[in-house]
Amino acid sequence: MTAANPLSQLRPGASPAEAESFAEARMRLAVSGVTPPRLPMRRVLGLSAAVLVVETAVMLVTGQSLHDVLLPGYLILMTTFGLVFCLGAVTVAGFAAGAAGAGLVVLQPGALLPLLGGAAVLALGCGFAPGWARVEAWQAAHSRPLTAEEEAAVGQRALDGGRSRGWSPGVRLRNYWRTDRVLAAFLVLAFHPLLAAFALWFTHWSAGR
Amino acid sequence: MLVEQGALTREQLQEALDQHRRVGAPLGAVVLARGMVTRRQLYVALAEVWGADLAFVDPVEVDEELARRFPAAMLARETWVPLRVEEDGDGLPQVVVATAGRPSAHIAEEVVQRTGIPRVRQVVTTDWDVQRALRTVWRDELVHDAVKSLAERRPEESASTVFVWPQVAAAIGLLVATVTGLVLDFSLTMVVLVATVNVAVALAVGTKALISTVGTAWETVEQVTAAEVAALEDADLPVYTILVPVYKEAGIVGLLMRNLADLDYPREKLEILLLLEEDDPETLTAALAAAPPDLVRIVVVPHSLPKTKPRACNVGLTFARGEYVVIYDAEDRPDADQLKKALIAFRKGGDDLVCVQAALNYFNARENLLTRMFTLEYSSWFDYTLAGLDKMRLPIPLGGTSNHFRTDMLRDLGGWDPYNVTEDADLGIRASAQGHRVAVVNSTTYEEANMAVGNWIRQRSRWIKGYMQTVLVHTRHPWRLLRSVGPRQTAGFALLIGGTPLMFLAAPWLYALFVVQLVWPGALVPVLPEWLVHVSLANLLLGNGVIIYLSLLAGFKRRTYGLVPFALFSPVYWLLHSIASYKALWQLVVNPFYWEKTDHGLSSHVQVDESAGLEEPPAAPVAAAPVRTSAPDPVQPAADVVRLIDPATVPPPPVRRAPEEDQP
Repeated sequence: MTAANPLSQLRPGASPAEAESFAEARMRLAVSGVTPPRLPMRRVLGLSAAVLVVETAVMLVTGQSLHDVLLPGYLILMTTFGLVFCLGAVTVAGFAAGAAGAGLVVLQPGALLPLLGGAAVLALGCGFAPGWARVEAWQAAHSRPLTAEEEAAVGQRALDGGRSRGWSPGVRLRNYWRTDRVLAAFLVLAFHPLLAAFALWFTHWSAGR
Repeated sequence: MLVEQGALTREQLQEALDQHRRVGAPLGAVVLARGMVTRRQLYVALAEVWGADLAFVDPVEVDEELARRFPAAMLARETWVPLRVEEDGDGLPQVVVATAGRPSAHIAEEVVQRTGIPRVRQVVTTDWDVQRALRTVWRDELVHDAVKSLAERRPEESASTVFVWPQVAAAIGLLVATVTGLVLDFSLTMVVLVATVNVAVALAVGTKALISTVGTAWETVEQVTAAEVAALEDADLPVYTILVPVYKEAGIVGLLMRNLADLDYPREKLEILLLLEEDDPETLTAALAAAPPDLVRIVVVPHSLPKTKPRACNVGLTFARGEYVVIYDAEDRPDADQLKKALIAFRKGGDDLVCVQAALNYFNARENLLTRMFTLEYSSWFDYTLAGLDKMRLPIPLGGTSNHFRTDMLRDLGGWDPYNVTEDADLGIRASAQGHRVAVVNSTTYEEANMAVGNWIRQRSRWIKGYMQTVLVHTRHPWRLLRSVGPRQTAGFALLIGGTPLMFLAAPWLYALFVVQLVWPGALVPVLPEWLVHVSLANLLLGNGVIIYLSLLAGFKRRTYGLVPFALFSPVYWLLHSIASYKALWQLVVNPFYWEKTDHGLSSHVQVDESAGLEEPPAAPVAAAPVRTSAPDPVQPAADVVRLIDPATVPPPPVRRAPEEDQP
C-alpha cells in the first residue's frame, strides 16, 4: 500500500496561511526541474539574415522597386519573430515582430486588418504554447509571488499539468491556457502596427485640414 | 560558566556548540542570537573568561577631553571606548578603556599612541554600552562625519554645493543667448530651441528603449542559481549588516521584524541596525514594544540637518561590523535567499565589484491604477533597464533599497552623500566614476507601491530632483568624467540620468505643440517651419509609443499579464511625472536638500494589527535554526533595549574573578 502524499490535498479546516504554504509547496514540487525553452537565437537570426539577403538580392536583380523589396522582407521578419515569440516565449521577439508589422503597415496601409488577424492567431497560439507555460513555471519556481492567490493558481495549474506526465505533447492543452497571457501577447504584437496606422492616419488627416 | 551560573542548560550548551561548529560563529554570538542568554549574562561570563572587570558605561562618566583623542569611526568598528584617566596602585596615571571584545594589545597600543600614557586598564562592557557612549559622547563627531565627510574629503563629488560657477555661468549664458535670440530673430531662436529639445528627447527615449531591449534578452538568465546558493556552507558566510533607516513609521516596525525574519542566513552572522531619528520617539517606542531579537540593534541617529536618509545610513555605516552591508526600507520583503545570492554575486564578480543591486517590485500592485502603473514602471526599470545597463557595462544608478555593498569599499567611496536626495543613484554613478562596478542579481525585494497621487508626486519629485543633483555633480568636470569612465558610459549616463528629467520637463511643451496644431492647424507655421512641427509631433508619438511598449513588455518577466493592458495609460502616467519634475526643478533652486518624506504603510497589505507588533518575534526564523529548548523570558529582549536607552537601569559591575576557560 502506498502512503498518502502529504501534498495530495489540503487538510480540512486549514488556516489561510497554511493553505498558502500548501499551494506554494505543491507548486514548487510540480515545477522543480522545469527549464525555460532555449531557442538557438544565433541560428535563427543568422538564417533570417541569410534569407533576407537572398530575397533582397533576387528582388533587386529582377528590377523590383524598393517597396516590393521591403514588403516580403518585413513579412519574413514578422513571421519569423512572431513564431519565435509564440513558440519560444522570447518576449523581445514580440517587439521585433511588432516593429516589422509596423513596417508592413507603413508600406501597405490596407494590411492592418489582416495583420491584426494574424496577431490574434499568434496570441491565441501563445495561450496554448507549452513554451510559455514552461517559462511561467520556471519563473514561479525562481521568484517569490506577487500575490499568494496568483502563485497558488500557477502552482495548481502546473501540478495539474503533471510532473509525472512531464511537459510532453500529450499534456492537455487546457493546462497551458491563460487568457491574460493571450491578451498581453496580442497587445505586444498589435501595438506597433496600430501605432503606425494611427500615425499615418493622423498625418493624412492633418494634411487634409 | 553560563551553565554553572544556571543561565544555560547543558542541552542548550550542546545545541549552541553544534551550531557554533556548523556556522563558525563565536559561541557567545550563538547563544545570544538564539536568545538562550541575555546580553548582560553573556558579558558577565565573558568578563570572567577574559579575566577583566565588567563595567557598565555611563556616558556622563566618560572624560570628554580624553575622548577627543580617539576617532568615533575607529571606536565603533573596534567596539571599545576610552573612559577616563586614573591613578593606579602606584599613583601613576593609567587610561581606563571599556571594550566589548577581548582585551587586546592592539587597544593598549592605540591608547598609548594617542595619549602617551603607557599604562592601560581594559574593562569589559557590552557592545550596546559602547554604542550608547559613542552616540552620546562622540555625538558631534558622528554627525559631522555622517554629514560632512564626503563634502570635505571629495568636495567635487558632493551635492552640498548645488551649482558650481561654470554651471551657473553656462546657465546664465544660455539664458541671455536665448533672450537675445528671441528679441533679434524670434523664429530662428524658436527653431533652434524646439529642434534641440526634440533631439534630446529622441536620444533619451531611444537610449532607454535600446538599453531595455538589451535587458529583455536576458529575462530568463540567472546570475546566481539555486544550486549555487544550496552549495554555500554556513561556516563560510561572513557577517552581514542590514541597515534599516526608519523615520516616523512607527506602524510598520513590527512588520519589518517579520519580513527580515524570513531571511535565510545564520542569525549569528546577521547584524540588523535599525536607524531611528532622535526626534521620532513614536517609532522608537514602537520598536521597543516590538521586542526585537538580539541581533537587532537600535541606533538612534542624533538630530542634525540635512535630515535625510543617507545621513542616517552614514551613521549606520559607522557602526556596521559586517563584511557586507545592505539597506532595506521598513516595509521591504526581500527574497529569503537574497543575502546569499548577493554574496555569490560578489564572489563571482571580481574585486572591482562594489555593489550588487537586487530587483525591486511591489506586493500591492493591484491596489489601484497608480500602483499598477508604478509596478509596471518598476518592472521595466529593474527587470529590463538595469539588466540592460549591466550587460552593456554602463553606470547603474542604484535603487532605493536592496543594494548590497562591500563595507570597506563603501567606506572608501565616502558612503552616501547626505546632500543628494537620490543618494543611491549618485553612489552608483560615483562608484563607476572611480573605476568600480555595480551589478544586478536575480533576487527581488517587494515593497509597497505608493497608492496616493499626492504622496506619489512628493516621492517622485524627490527622485527627479536627486537625478538633477546627480547630473549636476558628475558633470562639473565633463572631461574628467569622460576620461575616467569612457565615452560610451558618459553618453549612457548623460542620456539616462540626464535625459530622464529632461524628457519629463519637455513632454508638456511637446503636448502643447500637439494641442495647438490640433486646434488651430497651421498656427505654428509662421513661427516654426512645417517640417519641425511634424518632427515634434512624430517625436511625441514615437516617444509615447516607446514608453507604452516598454510598459507592455514589463508585465512579461514576472508573468503579471493582468497589468499589461494598463500600459496603455502610460502617457497619462508620464504627465504626472512632468508635474513632479517641475516641482523638482523648483525645489532644486529654492530648497535643494529638502527630503520629501514618503508615507509608507498606506497599503492594506501592510496594515498590522496592534497586537502583532507586541508579540515576541518568531523563535527560529532567520536560519534553519533548531527550536530552542528553553525559551527565555519573553520580555527580556525588550528589557535589553530599554537598558541601552535608560542608563538608570544599568546594574553595578560585578566583582572580578579569576579567568577560567575561553568560553562563556
